[in-house]
Amino acid sequence: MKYASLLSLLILALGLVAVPAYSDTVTVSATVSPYISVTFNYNAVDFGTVTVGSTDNHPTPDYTTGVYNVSIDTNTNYTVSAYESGDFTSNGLTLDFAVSSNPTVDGTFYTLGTSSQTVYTSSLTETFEGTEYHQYLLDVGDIPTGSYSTTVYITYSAA
Amino acid sequence: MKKAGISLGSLLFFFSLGFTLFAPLSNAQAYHIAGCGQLNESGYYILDNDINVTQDVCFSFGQGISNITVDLNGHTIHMTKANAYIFRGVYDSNVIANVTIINGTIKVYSGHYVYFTNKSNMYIEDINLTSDGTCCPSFVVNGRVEIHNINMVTTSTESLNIIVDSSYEPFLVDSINVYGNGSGSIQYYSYNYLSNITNCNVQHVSGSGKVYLENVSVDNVYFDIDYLSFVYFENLTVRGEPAIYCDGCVGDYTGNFILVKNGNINFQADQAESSVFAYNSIVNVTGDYSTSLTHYIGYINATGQISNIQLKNVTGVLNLTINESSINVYDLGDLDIYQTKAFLYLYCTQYGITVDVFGSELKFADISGASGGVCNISYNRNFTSAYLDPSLDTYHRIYGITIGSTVDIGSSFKRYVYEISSEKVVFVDDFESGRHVDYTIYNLKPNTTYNVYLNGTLTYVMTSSPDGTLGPFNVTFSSPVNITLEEFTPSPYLSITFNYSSIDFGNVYPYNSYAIEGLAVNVSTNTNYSVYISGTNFSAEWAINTLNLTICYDAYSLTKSFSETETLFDAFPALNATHYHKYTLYVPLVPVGNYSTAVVIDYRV
Repeated sequence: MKYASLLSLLILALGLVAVPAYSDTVTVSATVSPYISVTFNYNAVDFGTVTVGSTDNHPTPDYTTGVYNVSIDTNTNYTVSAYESGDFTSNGLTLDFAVSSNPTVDGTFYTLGTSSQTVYTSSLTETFEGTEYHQYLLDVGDIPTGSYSTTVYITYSAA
Repeated sequence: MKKAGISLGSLLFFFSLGFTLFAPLSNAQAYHIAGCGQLNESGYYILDNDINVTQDVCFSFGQGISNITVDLNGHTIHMTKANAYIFRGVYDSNVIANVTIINGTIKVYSGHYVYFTNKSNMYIEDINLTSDGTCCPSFVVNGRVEIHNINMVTTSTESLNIIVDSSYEPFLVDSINVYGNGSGSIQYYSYNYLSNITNCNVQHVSGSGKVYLENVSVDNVYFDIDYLSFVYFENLTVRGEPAIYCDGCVGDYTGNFILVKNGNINFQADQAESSVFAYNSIVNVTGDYSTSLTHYIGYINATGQISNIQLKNVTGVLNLTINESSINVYDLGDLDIYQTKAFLYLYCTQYGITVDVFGSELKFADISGASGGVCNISYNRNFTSAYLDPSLDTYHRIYGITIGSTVDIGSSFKRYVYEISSEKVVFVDDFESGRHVDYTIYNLKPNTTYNVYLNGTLTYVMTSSPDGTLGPFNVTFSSPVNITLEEFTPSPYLSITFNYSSIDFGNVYPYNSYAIEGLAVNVSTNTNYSVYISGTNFSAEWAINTLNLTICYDAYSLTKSFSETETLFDAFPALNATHYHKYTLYVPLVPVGNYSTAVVIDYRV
């Protein structure tokens, strides 16, 4: 920089009385983009044997044990959306889903349809590195006996 | 009792005591004699009394007689007749071998010669040679001789001469002591053979006396040469120290002087003025010379030239004249002056004079010479002495003299400085007022800038050439000038030019690393320096060690955490180079947003 050169000449002229020091200030900038990383720590939920006409069946093991969790790293708020493939809905089964920061405290349950819906919106004020817990409840209609299964799709998106 | 011999026309009789007197001769028959006579048998003869010799020959020998010893037994043979013989054969050309005379005094009539004539194996030992006259008695020895423990004594001003004519045979002289007050001379002639003279003491040979030594080798000889003495050496090798000592000499060039040709002598003249004219010789001079006296080192030959002088190991104060008026001086070779104060008369011809000065103050009394003459004065800094101002590297004075009008010393005066180990060279010169001298200094540090101070005033700033030569620079004299060359050591200088002022990493993501490199910084400096970095992080709230800076120079690079404030690296060599800065950014999990910081980079001497 010109500033440095000018300063050096000045010091040279002063000769012995100056102890030269030359510095410059550099502006360094960067723009940090939104970032979120989610790791699912489970891949199946089993409700076991349920009774026709029962509601709010808990899975086995129960979600209060915290086994249905995800690890999250993020520097931004995010939303969680979910839906199921329709195998439950078409057969008279209703699946409710909630997101909670505490496995023993129920979040807000949403009945999953075949269309994606937002089930959770974060309210972070700083980066977050931690665990979220998923909660599941099953309602059983008057349906024939048998084994039923469905696929649940959960998406984390930066807000 | 056995009769010892026959006395013819003599008043003297020989007697034998019939017993052996000396152990080495225990098997020989000893004869007592009371006077001169003819010795016709081999054997050991003992003189029982002093005798006065009035005839031409004292002891004569029969033809073919050999192996005779005459023991004077402490008595004196007084040679009262002119030019008489102590020994002589019945026939002058007789070959008489192995004749010895020992243990007494031979007194020579004034002005006469005493001949020791023998053709082979004359042996003279423990004899005092003296005289009773006023002028010039001489002892002449011919033939192959050995002379041991001879004292030549005079009590008056007369001289003593011992003439050893060894024209055909080598001879050995050992332990001759000569004490003279007059104009005595000692002349040795040994024309064809190298003779050895050892352990001799020649003192008080004064007046117009002379000592001639030709083709001889001298060991531990003490020559005490008085006023108006003359010593001439040719092909002389002198061992021992001092070899030549001049005590109380008060003459000048016309006084005592020593000529040495092809010699190697040690010379000491502590109290005196003397002159040594040497030709093809090495003269080692020791002693503390009076500054008021003049010592001449040189040789005058038939053409009046002085040449091939090596003056070495001068440890005293020496007044040295290597030139006389009307004498050309050339080809001095290495004139080495060690640790002394030399007062030099210098005459420079086109052949050049090189004077190597080792820890000496060199004071010129006169410089003159032929047109185009070259005077090379070289100084060796590794030598110091009491005569050299310790604050000066060399001390070189040319006091108040007028340089010869026919030689431009100024244009050819060269000064060599050996063994430069410091940054400062100091010497003092003094030419006559008004003279301009162009100086060229040699053997300085190459490619080095020197400040040249004349009497403390910075007058020139010059840079030596790759071979360490500096100059020429001109000095005008009106009085002694202290010439100081001091290596220029400028103030620390450091110039830094940053060729960038900001960097932008753009969009980055947490848990990723990014780099921006090749950011040039020009460095111009003459000193070592350090680099410091400091600054704030991207976010005072969130970031931890988010930004690193790397500065690269050749293979040398260091990386420091940006969050630190400390020396990045030290002691780069002095250089004019370009540094390349490299910034690396690691993005931790930080909130979304725009970040910036100010990085302060200090280059410090």
